[in-house]
Amino acid sequence: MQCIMRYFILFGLVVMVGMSACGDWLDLYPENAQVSSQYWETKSDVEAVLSAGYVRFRGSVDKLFVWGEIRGNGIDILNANKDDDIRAAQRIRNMDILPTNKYAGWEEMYQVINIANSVISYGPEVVEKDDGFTYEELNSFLSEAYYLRSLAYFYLVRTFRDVPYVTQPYVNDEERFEVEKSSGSDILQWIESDLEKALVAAKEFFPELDTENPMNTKGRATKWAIHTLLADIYLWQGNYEACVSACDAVLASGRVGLIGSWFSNFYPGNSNESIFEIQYSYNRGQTNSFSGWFDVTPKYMASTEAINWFQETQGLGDVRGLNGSFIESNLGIWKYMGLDHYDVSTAKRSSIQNDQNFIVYRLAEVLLMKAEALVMLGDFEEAITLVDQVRNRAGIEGNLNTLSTELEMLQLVLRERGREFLAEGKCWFDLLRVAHRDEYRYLHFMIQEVTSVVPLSNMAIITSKLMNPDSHYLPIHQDELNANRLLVQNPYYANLGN
Amino acid sequence: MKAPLFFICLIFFIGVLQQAEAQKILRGTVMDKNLKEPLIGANVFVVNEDDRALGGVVAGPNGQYIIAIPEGENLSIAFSFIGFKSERLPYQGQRIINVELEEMGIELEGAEVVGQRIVRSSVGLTERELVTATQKITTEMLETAPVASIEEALQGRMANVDIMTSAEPGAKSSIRIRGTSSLNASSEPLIVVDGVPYPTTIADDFNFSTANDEDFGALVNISPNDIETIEVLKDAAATAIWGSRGANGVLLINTKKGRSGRTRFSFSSKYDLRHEASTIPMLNAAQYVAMIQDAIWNTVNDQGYANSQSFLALLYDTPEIGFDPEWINFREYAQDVDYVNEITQRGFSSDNSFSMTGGGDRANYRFSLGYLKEEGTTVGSGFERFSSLLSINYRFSQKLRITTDFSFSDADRSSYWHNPRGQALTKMPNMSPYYINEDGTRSVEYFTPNSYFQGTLGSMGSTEIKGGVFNPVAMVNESVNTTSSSNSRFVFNLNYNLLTGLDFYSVVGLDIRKTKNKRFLPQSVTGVTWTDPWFNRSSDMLSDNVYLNTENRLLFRRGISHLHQFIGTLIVQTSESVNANYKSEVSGNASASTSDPTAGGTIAGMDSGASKARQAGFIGNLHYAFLDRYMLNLGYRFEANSTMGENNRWAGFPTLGLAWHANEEWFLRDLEWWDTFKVRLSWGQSGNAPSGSYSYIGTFNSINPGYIDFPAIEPSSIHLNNLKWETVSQANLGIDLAFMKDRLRTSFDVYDKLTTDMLQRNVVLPRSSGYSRINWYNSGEMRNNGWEFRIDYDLVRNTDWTLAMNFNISQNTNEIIELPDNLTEYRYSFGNGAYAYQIVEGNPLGSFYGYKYLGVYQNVEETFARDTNGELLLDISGEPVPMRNGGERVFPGDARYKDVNGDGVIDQYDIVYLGNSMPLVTGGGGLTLRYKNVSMSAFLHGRAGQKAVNQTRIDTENMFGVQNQSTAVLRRWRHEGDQTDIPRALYNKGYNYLGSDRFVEDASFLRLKTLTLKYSLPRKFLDRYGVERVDAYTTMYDLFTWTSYTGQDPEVPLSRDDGVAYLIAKDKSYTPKPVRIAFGLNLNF
Repeated sequence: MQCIMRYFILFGLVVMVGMSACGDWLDLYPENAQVSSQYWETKSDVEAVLSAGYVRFRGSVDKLFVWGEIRGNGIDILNANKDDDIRAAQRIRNMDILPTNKYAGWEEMYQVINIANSVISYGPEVVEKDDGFTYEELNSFLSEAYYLRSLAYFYLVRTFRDVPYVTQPYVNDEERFEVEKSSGSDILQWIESDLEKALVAAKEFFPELDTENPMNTKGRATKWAIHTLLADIYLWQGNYEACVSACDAVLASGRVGLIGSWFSNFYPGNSNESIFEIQYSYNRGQTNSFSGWFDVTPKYMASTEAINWFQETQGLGDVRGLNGSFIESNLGIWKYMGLDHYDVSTAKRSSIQNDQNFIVYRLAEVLLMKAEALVMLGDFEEAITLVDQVRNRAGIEGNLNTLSTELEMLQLVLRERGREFLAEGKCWFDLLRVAHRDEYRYLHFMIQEVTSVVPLSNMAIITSKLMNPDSHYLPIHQDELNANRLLVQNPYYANLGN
Repeated sequence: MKAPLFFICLIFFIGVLQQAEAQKILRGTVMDKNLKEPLIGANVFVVNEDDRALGGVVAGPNGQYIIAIPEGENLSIAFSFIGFKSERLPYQGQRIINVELEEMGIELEGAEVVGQRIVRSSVGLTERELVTATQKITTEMLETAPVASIEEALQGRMANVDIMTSAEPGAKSSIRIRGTSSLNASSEPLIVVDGVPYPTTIADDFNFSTANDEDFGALVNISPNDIETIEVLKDAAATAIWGSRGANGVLLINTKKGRSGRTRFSFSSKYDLRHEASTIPMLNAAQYVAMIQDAIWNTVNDQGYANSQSFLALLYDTPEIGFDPEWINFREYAQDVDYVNEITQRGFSSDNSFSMTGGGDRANYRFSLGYLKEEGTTVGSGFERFSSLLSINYRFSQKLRITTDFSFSDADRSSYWHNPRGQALTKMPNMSPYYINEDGTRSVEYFTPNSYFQGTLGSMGSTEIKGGVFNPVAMVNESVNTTSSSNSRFVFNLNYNLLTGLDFYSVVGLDIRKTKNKRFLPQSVTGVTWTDPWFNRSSDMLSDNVYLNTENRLLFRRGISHLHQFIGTLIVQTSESVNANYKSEVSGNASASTSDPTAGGTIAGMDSGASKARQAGFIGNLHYAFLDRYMLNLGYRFEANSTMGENNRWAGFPTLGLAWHANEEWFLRDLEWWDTFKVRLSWGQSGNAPSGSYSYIGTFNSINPGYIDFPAIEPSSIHLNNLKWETVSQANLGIDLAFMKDRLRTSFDVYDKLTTDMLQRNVVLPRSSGYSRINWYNSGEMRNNGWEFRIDYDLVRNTDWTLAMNFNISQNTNEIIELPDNLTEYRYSFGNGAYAYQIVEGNPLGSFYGYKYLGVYQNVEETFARDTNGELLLDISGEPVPMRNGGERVFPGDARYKDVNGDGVIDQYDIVYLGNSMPLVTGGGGLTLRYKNVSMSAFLHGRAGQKAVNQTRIDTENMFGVQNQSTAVLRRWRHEGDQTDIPRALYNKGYNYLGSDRFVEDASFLRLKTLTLKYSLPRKFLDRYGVERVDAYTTMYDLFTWTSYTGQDPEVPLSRDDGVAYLIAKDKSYTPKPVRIAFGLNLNF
């Protein structure tokens, strides 16, 4: 019996030693993937994730365009096209929106947010580990991450109003995946304070490989990009003084300025006027589908309303209209197609080299934002000089006179924005921004603008729909409602079901 | 400095040894007792009390030997010679020992003694001591079955082991023991060969789009001739020692081992001929053209002449169906071809195996070779296997014994790129597969136009050619799809008796596999042009797997005064699998032999992967018997798997079992007719681990291209800290009875199996997390319960006559008790031929949902919509509203579905439950009759209560497109009053074949699986030639099937439909089961 006990004890010891060794023996890691628990180690790890944020932003340009432009009155959709995406966009334009509409999906924005959150929460850990990574570099990365996150939220708030506000990265399955909505105005305040913090460490410029084409400075978040985004948010919120001072910060930077040749903003792009543009580069394999959207048989083309806007200024020498923003033959958006103003002999971009940048902010917008803020502050004179600055650059001679009412002045600024930023993803956001301020004081103005491009048969129904401010925001996608039970559908769509 | 000293010591030591040996010498002779002749080559050993050999010599020419006796006490001298009984004499200092050995009889008695040896399971229990539900079969009856795999031979033999086989040579079977217990983890049972798990499924991370389990999942590549016994373990208490991998049941397979004695040879040879049962009768050329024209006309009439220009053009300007002798391809389209006949053949197969066994006192061996060649009934399909097995047993002493098994098999499976059956059925019969010569004979050139009436051959998409059109005759003859797999397996077994009642066992198993798949799709099959990615496409896939399993076991057995008996076991198991795979696909190749991407061509895709997984288990088991009558078994398994993170990696699973031999109680003992009355009760848990290798690990992946000049990496999957084991708890109550001197044996079991924390795969996450899905998530419950009964009855057992029967029947019910929190598993999009799939609480897995089919609308009256009360629906102007199928208005002759909600429109709100793929009852039974040397046996297998979607009928009775249809459509509705259930032909319009119960059929069947007639040559006759046994037999396999199912084969394999979480029975016109007639010969000498 003693012997047996000895063997059992021996066996037991072997088992115990075996089990303690097993911990390591069972820890296996894939050879062909980066394991997340072993990731955040060096500066380049942080930079690569930050860069993924820009990549995801670049991947969402389709949505940014539709969200910002499609319900405005600057562009028309080609009906004949039977593409699924086009039909979904068409439904949005007709205010015939179901929660299953493709463009009601917000996944790309939250991918950007999750990536930015990762940088913000792991960057400070990495700086402790990597000696080659300075706090200065870290803070600069963080300012870019804050910028990407804030820009994503700003798009979301303008499109959906109330959305889940997530500031921690999702790392493992212990997180709370279902998050309720936060109010849009709260979110704007939170991102404002993030951006104000980010300003401190933000770079004024980035080193370039090619100084003729400063891709990094124009393609990444500089101090000026942050100021501009802040200006836009302030303007949305009605904080006009803050907007004016943010605009002034950019105007006084000495790093950006209006350029003489308007078309150079689009080709070759990354001009001195540019503040932040999403970069594409054919040589680097980073291309878009703009030629399918705007070229030969364009999905999106200049609306008759937009053509009217340009007719007002055509005679005054405006270079932005026919043969600038669009061409006559198919009303395609020439600013994305040409190498210069259209002429019979002007070469088009090569149809495979789809690397037109998507311009998020350029200086002309800072001028017009400031003008809008000044209008709201009652300083019509100063506002007019800013609008004139933009008009003169476009070749329009002479100056405008001030108009008598705030609404007329707003209309004037908006009209100028329409001409300047046709098909740059701004038009609907502009109308909504003006309409929603001061308890929807200018709602009728917006409806009138929107319906100017709607067929008569749809006019009544769209008008009545737009009377309900909830309809100005997209529904939450049905899949998202199914997956996140804490979400409450935008009441306007609550009864539509699927 | 030290080395020389060591050598001096060594030399001195050897010298001492030699001196010692010189002191004691034993001499003698070894003779044959009967013939009084010397036994040259006899073994003489000096052994100690443990029977360990301390030295040995071989007897010389006159039977003389000289052996040195080493130091030691209690020595014996052992004499042995092959074919003679061994002698063992104690050594007491004798100088001479002469012995005479007696010859052993050639009778098979030795083998029978082996057969009665007490067999103990790996936890040291005899069958009598078992508390769990197991069933064991010996494989004598398998000898005569013309089958390539064990799975096929086992079909229907074991209660509640539901095996679905495929008729394709070398294809894998699916096995379900007591139902499907998991949604996403594997539901296949664990197969254990000689104590070492035998992997049969492909690794989860081996997910090349074109690879499937049929090509890469291994068959149990062991020849049925090499198998001694097969045992099935069903309940959790029985499978406990195999842990998570055994959660779906365990099949224990033991191969034959060596036998001591004279060398024996055995040879068996089987030849069989397989003939395909009748296929679906299809329309001939004239009927086809008439049907197409009818269909187009109906469409034209429905939508008006003015709107039908394209249809009219199709009708009048299509030379393929226009019989225009002026047309260049007139001859090719004026044929009448039976395409199924073109691609089928009579298959001839052979299976030969040879084995030899023998051995002496200490060592014995068995060696076998097998060669199998099968030909499928589809041209171009076949299977070839070479297998060998060597088993060596060596007994060092009474205490130490070692067994090693080495097996090698090499299998080649040939097939075609894409299954041609569906295409052969639906190809237009007036089109020729070959160009036709001037004189009307076929040329050797394939007629494969790029584009013709039935579609464009080039329109196959870029990922798979599913749905494409191709030339099926060229497909079977020209396309290549061969899978060669070689498998080397090495099992080392050690048994050391440490003390009385305490044994140590150690098993190490190494399994190395290499699988190579080579495919080639020549242009003659597809007709595509040079630039198409499918032009001469070829692919190479390679997979390497190494599995290493170890098990160390301490077994302790002790009785106290006959009242108490204890058996304790401690086991440590580890297993590791390493997989690597590689694939390349190339288009524009010259031939199948140059598919290597370096040989040119355009690379269409490349992929590779590597993974590793490990498992460990610690098991304790205690068995206690009181009075050898009341038994208690307690077990606990502590288990870990590398697929889960540290927090949940380890889990413990208890088991508990009770058994009572009631017939030994005083109140039953007097009733002489009981031989066994045993009641068993067991309960136990086991776990299912998520599949894959690194399931829980969160990863970062790079995005290409990055941003400007920066590389981009983003988090791509979430790290899973909460991923844990799926737990299966099973309770089992069983009764074993035996009467009439064990001639009648029955066993009955009821069980209840509950799966909790079900593993859910790819669960949708809110997109606000930045991710779309989470890989794994534990949630939900599912239950399987049922019963099984089996009976074996030897009705007559005497020297001339034997009559025995066996029968088993079982039932399993599956029910989903609780669904995961946010599972939205509903897949349906309205359309012809589509069924809805969903997982509904309270319904079983594998359910179909669709419309109720009510036949055909006879007249306009009937097409008016009625509400649920039967009242006509009227529009604003008071006119009756016609029914609509989907958006389309119905006309007389269209399919009529039940409008469940009475709204006048057939849409997804009219979908109802139509049945499911799980059988209600499965079973089998056999009868064996022997008179003297002639025996006859029959075996039946059946399943009842399961439904199947007859996809073949959907494809061949829809009259929607340009596909050829079955002759059933000759009954199609044409005029009012036609009493038929088949709607009118309607080209590219309407919803006449929505997923409805019209195509859901009862697939119950009873099949005469085998019928064997065997003749054994008389023993007396054979003895004269020194031959032990000669049997000649003929077997008919799958001879007859009783079923009401209208498809080719009611045994519909389960398959995964696109995006559906579970397997369903959908009959996709794969090769029907052929009738096989085999002749065979077994020879032992």
